[in-house]
Amino acid sequence: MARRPKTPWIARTALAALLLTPTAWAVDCNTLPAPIYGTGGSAQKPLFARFGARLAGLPTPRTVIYSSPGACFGINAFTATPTRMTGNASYWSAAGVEATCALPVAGQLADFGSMGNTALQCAGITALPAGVGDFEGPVTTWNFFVPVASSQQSISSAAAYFVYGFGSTGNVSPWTNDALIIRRDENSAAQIFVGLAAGIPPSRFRGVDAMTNARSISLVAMATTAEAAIGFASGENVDANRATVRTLAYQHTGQTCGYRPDSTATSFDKANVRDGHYWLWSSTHLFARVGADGRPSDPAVREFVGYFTGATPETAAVPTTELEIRNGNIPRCAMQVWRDGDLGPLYSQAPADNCACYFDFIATGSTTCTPCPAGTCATPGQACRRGYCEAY
Amino acid sequence: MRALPLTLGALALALSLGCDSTEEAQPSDSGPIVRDVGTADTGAVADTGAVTDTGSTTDTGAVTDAGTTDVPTVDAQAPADVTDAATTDVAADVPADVNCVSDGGCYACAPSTTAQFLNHCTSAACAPFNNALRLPLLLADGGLPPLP
Repeated sequence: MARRPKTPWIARTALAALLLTPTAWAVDCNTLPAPIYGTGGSAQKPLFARFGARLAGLPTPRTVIYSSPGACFGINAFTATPTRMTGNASYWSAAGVEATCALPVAGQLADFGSMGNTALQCAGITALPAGVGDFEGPVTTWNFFVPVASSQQSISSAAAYFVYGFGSTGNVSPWTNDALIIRRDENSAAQIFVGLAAGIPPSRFRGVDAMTNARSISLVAMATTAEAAIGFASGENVDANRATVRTLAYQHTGQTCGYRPDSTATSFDKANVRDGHYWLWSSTHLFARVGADGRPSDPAVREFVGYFTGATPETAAVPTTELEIRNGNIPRCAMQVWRDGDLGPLYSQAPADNCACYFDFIATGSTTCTPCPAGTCATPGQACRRGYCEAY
Repeated sequence: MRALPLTLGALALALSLGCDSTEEAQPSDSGPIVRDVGTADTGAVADTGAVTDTGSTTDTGAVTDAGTTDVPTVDAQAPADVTDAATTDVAADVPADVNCVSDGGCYACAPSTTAQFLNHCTSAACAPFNNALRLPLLLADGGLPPLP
């Protein structure tokens, strides 16, 4: 019996592969309703997912389209020779379902960039590009984490120096297996901040590059030897995976004990960030082209960035503060301390729009503060904000 | 009460000496400890003196009672004595008040510098990492060797 020719099978296989690639199936991004394009770190992706869903559900829907190749791409997209978004990007339906769309073959200029660090931490950036604004959003923590099966509870800045600066030769038991020391690359905000805190140049980390926050978590969670595995990522990504990984307490230089972002291993109150015990945090930075008034020049971008800075009033449809808290971020109004720059010194702050009680209620499900459904508080000095009697 | 000049390094040493003696055994930790200060404040505090109490956390280890903390007033602006030169290192010379270091070793007055915030008395659980015990490459003076 004569053998069948192979060529048709190869052709069919190739055609099937082509048809099954995400690019082939992804919708053209530019056909989505009122798209806003953003690029930068993967730490902010969950936050933009929440806002993207809300904006997609507005009577006049907008589509948040975001790609996360790394934090520093958030500013590289706004340099004199901007890095364009290419390939596929994520967007979210009103139901919060993530999908991908295909960016133009020639690349897409970003409307906004986002990352956890300032522009100056990125290679090749010596100043904020002309005509670009840097807008601060809610706080993100940077967490060291281990598998839930690990017995480890804490790590110090000096220990991080040896683990990530030396790898296995650092002899910091039990983190002595290079294959289970999970890192990122120098474009990652998480790596930039760990490097700043521990004194390691971001380009000199040892270990395995996980590429994204999400993959850092999966690599650590699935480690064959749980005790030897360690990674770092943004707090909101780690908090969303507490079933598989656990945040370590971090003890900074000059600190006598290590603290987690939260007051206990099981809470979500971010108490140690808000009162200054937890060192590894930063505010989110959004970048956009600005006009002479310093505001984003594109009205749609201005509105979008304004949600995170407070310039765009929150509404029932887009409850900014609640969305940020539920995502694991901390709005500035819930912070007792603040800092300028990347891991700058801490100082006290009393935000004008204090939301400490509201934060506790949304983040933990309860608060000891007095509700004020009528809009007033009986205690002198207290102010009714977002339904609770805040201290002022 | 007379304020005595003290460097942050000395403050850290003082805090360390007075800190909870419970340290983790290598390689695993002994579990979180709670530095109970009674009425620790974790919410924003205004001049009205209102304090948000986070409540007591689970006591799973040695407990150090630092007593009742002063009710701190929150400055609306950065304190004038923020002089930390290094971005991420709190070991800068800043005056501190030795009378604010509690019996439990934490900083019991209203914090205004980075080191004071980091070591402020709190009811939150903490887990110490013993550098001297667990970092064999640490230099004799506690310093770090250059990266390989």
